[in-house]
Amino acid sequence: MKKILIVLVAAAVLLSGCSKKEEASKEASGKLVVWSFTDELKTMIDKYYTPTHPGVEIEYSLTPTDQFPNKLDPVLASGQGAPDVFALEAAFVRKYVESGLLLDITDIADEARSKSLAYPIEVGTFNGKVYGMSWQACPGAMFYRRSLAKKYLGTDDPAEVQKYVANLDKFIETAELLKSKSGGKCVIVSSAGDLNNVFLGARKQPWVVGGKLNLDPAMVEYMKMSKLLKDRGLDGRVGQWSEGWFAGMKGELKDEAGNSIEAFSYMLPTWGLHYVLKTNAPDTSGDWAMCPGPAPYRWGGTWVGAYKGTKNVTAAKDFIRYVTTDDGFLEAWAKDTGDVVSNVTVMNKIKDTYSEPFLGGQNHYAAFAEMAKSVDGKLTQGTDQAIEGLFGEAATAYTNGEKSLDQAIDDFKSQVSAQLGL
Amino acid sequence: MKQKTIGNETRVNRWGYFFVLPFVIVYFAFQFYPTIYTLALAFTNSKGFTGLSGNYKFVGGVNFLRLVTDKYFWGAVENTFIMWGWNFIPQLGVALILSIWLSDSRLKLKGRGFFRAVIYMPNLLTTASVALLFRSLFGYPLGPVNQFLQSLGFFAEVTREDGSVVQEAFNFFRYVSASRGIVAFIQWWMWYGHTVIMLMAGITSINESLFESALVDGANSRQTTWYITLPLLRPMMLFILVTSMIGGMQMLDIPFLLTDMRGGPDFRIRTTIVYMYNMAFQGVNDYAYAAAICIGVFVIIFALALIIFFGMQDRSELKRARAAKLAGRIAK
Repeated sequence: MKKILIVLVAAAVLLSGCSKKEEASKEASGKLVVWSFTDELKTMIDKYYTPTHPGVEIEYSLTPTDQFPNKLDPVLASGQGAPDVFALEAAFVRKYVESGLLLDITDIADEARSKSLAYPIEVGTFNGKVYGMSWQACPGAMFYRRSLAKKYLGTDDPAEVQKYVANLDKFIETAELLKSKSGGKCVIVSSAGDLNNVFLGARKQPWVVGGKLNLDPAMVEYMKMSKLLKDRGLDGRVGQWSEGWFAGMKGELKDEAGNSIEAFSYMLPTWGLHYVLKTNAPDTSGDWAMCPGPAPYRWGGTWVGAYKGTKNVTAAKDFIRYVTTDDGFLEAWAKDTGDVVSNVTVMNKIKDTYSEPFLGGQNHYAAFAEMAKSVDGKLTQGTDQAIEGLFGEAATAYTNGEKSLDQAIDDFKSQVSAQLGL
Repeated sequence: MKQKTIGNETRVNRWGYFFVLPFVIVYFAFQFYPTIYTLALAFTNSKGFTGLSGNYKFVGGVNFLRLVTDKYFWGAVENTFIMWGWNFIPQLGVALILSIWLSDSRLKLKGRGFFRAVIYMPNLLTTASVALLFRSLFGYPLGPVNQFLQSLGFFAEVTREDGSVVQEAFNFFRYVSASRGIVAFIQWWMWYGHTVIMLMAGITSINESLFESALVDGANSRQTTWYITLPLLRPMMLFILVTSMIGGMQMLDIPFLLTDMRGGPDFRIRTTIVYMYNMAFQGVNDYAYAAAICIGVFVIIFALALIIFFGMQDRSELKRARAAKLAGRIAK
């Protein structure tokens, strides 16, 4: 009897499942060309989308990130051979959102707005309409070494350490404290460049306001901070992504005289934990912890958009709706990958179940979920990449004492005006 | 009879067109058309996302007006010129010495072919990988060059805020002359082998009997080099100068990849083509102005090539031609 009951229940579940699938696929069918620079989308399609949407045939192609815009630009501009749906990286997503060539997906955003984090939608919004959506959130945190925190600050508890770096003034104070307590060995960051994203996040206004370049006071503060760190010897002097930067993660950074330098912290976002720290410093597992750091910021992430002239609007919208807003899918995805999703319903449901051994058992998911709420997506614009590149030169020139602050800023403004006409 | 032969010839000659066809097609598709297109673009306001899909208007010479008044463009021209000059002078000097040694029959050097191959080798490397190699060689603060200098006791002295002086590694890519020097060195290192080969070809084409008669007349090595080899190499050196100048003015990959892809430090290794790339493919995609930069560079190269050509032409030949003309007139 029990057996029969189980079989019946199973059959019922199967049937209802099937009928649901049919409903979904009734709306979306036909062919969809998807371009991406990240494997993630491929996994989403193969593992989740195609099994639940058998009516949609997906043609997927992968292009490395650095070549992706070069491949996408001409086909979007001409409309010939353009993909229906494509992934867009944080560095260049705004360029496309502002291009007027993307499909208006405001309806999808409106449906999901109440259960979504604000910033991923803000980044995809231009002139009140939404053109890009993201399934993830990439808030940035400060990752620090527990052993160093215990040794020099007397605590490795994230809440306590956060008090030491609660704002940018405290941050400098703590940097001095670390240096004096360690006898000059411990630096708060290995690279002053780590702070760039933090200050970008601390801006009140974006780079371009009303067609004019706007140098937010936060960016001037960044220049000053970076010079201060250098002049007082408070950073490890390496560049981001350089050998020395990675060596610092492993605790193997050395100065010119061969004395070891202890890098106290790294400013990294969600993916930084899984793909930078874990992969480059596996031996330090358990000795890390994370706290929000001096200011909320974000770094990286992938958005999904569709081409305005797509022949299959229904399927394109259905695809975007599914991968960026669907509760069931995002929950499965978050559990699979540990990705911090933009869907707050899912986030709240699962955030308390995590315990990251690499962070000594800290629940990184709950911490990131909290940080993601304070990120301002309205700061992002299409010209950011170019402006920040030119700004980087100005900041470095000032930091190294090659130029005065005014000189560096004037040169920066003049370069921006020559190259971008702002 | 005669008629028929001509007919045959035409029929056979027709195949010639088929043989050159692949080249002509490739040339027109990838050289001629882009050149004309660039020229046309320079007179438009093509900009931004749809800038290349016909979404532009002809605006006349606005871009060229902007070009001649753009201090950063002239700065880029200056950068390019300096780096090319720093590379070309030692390149020609070293290549001359090497090619004279390698082709001197009196020295009877062993393994000539081997040296020639070794000297040429750097030219076979991809510029991108060479740029990245030098980038990490001169890396800061942990690059091999810095470690070597430190082992010899060379440090950069940095004054901290509190007045203390600290010894640090050299941040090479923050010094303008060091960065330019590295670019020039890479260019020199990659291209001197090529110049050696060219000069050796030039030396080989000098009539052997000149050297023989010099030998008979008791000339020493220095004299043969000075009075025979060098003067007769002049056309070849002129050719090398012009081609190297053309290549040098189009320098892109090394200065582009060596630092921040914008020609840092302080945009002083930003060559004209790096500037063009920044304009066209980064930021706001100002295709029209980038095209104007290309035309500007073309005009500069063209003018310089003409100056070099007429400035360095062999005077004696000109004189001889004039004399011959005169003689001809008198004879009449």
